[in-house]
Amino acid sequence: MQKYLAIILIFISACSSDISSDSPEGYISLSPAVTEILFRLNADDKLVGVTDYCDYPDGVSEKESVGDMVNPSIEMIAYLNPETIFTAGEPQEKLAARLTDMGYNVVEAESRSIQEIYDNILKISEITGNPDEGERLVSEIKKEIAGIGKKLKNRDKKKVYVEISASPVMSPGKNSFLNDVIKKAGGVNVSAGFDRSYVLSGEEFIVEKNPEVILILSEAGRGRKERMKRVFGREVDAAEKGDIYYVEEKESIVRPGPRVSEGIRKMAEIIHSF
Amino acid sequence: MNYMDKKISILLFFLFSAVAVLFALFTGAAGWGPGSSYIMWNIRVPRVAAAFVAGAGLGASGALLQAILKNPLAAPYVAGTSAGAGLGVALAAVTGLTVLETPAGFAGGLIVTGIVFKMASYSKRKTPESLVLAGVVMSSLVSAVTFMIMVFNRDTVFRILFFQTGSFQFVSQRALFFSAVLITAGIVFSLLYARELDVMTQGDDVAVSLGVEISKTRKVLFAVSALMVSGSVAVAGVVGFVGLIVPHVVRFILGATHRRLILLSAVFGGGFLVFTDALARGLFAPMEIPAGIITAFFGAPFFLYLLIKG
Repeated sequence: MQKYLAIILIFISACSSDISSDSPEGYISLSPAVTEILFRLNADDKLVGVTDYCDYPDGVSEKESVGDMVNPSIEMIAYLNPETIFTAGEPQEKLAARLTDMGYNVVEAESRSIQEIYDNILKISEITGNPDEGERLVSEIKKEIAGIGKKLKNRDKKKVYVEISASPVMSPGKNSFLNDVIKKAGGVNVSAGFDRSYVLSGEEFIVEKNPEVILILSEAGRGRKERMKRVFGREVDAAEKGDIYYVEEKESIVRPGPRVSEGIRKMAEIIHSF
Repeated sequence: MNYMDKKISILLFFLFSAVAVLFALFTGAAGWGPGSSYIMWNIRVPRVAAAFVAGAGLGASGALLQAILKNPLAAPYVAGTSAGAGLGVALAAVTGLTVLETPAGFAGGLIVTGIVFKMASYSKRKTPESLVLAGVVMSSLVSAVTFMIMVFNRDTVFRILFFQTGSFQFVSQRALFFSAVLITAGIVFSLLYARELDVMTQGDDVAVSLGVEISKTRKVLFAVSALMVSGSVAVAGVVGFVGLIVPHVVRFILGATHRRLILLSAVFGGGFLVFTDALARGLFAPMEIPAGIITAFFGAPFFLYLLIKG
């Protein structure tokens, strides 16, 4: 028995010759928004790993994937041996702790508001070593958002209900990135009375708030739109006037990254129908 | 089955587990083969160890519970341990004491199992069924509280969900060591009661006439199994199916002699979970699918086969 054990051990140690003694290099992004920021900062040549959810821009498909966002393959991450790993938010907290334990430089870069997108762009550009590029990108986004604001100056603000989940029915609360987007797009978020990032709203809540525009971002999609039309009838302005929209290409609206101005423009176009 | 066949079957169980461990050590997103010694020693070995420890604990406690509850459907989670552990983790997560998640899960499991046992002991008919019923009802109640917490704290949902689907990725070395010691001790301890369990399967009357203190034995072994389940939950979260099917497979092949049943349920349970976890991370690498899916996928047909043949 001991003889076999010895053979197995020798076999294992022979196979495990150290090949990753090279010093760590490059970045892994575990957040689609951070991936977009890295590409916009022209730091994508140093991006060695992304997640299955990182789908923008085009070049991302050539990057090695480490799996999904909250439960990626830690082994793959170790294999790619990055210098810095970017995470985003609570769901990845446990993962971040494990990666920190393993000795990686883990940088948390979740954006829960437009301001935090700017902060994260600047932070990331410091890390990638081109802070000027970061400054430039932030002022570019700011300019675009200001441009949209100018267009909306003479329009009335509309009451908007945004649905981010249909089961359970949920909408973005005051402490959410989407609340910011709605505001900048010339809307008033009817769920903003709640001091949290999401609100379990329900259909009665929608009737009570009587929004002028309803945006469906949840996966429930078209069927949801039909149901709302039927259920809300004349009770809700948005249903009566046919201002219920299911947004198919919603990534720029929901993703707190450098395409935020594009998302705001898209939402403004829907809210104010231009 | 004659003596020689049994010897060979026992050897095959050990062999399966040894092969499973080797297979798992050479499977991973970083390619076939160990890649680098860093990945081998810091990622694969702890993970394989965690899966083995959890599987062994679940297998052994499943064998124990099926014997003392006299119920073929008894599984390690029937006594409310997993529901209690889930609540413990949820409470730790929402109060921000995330470092205490593993101890809280461990304690939660034990506390709820203790309550279940206490409740069952109040029932007039002190039968194994009252224990099973108390466990099922307490589990629903405790899970309802956990879900309530999740609904009102959506930000922490992920931490709780993780735990409930089971994952070997985030186990700390301390938790792993603690659980390994606990589960090994539990297995050794329950082996001391193997003879009593053998007698008890003949019926309570027979057992009493042969001098077995039934209620004491039941109480002690119930506690031992709760400790082992909590230990496995601490390293792996809630992994279903293993604790239910592994003892049945061993019993089908080797009969219900408890010394063998408990020991081999531990060995086979460990090997089985190591094998399914290796597939879970290897099949669609780098995407990891929950080990529970693979466990049921391979376990269910195998079990049905044994059921029909046996």
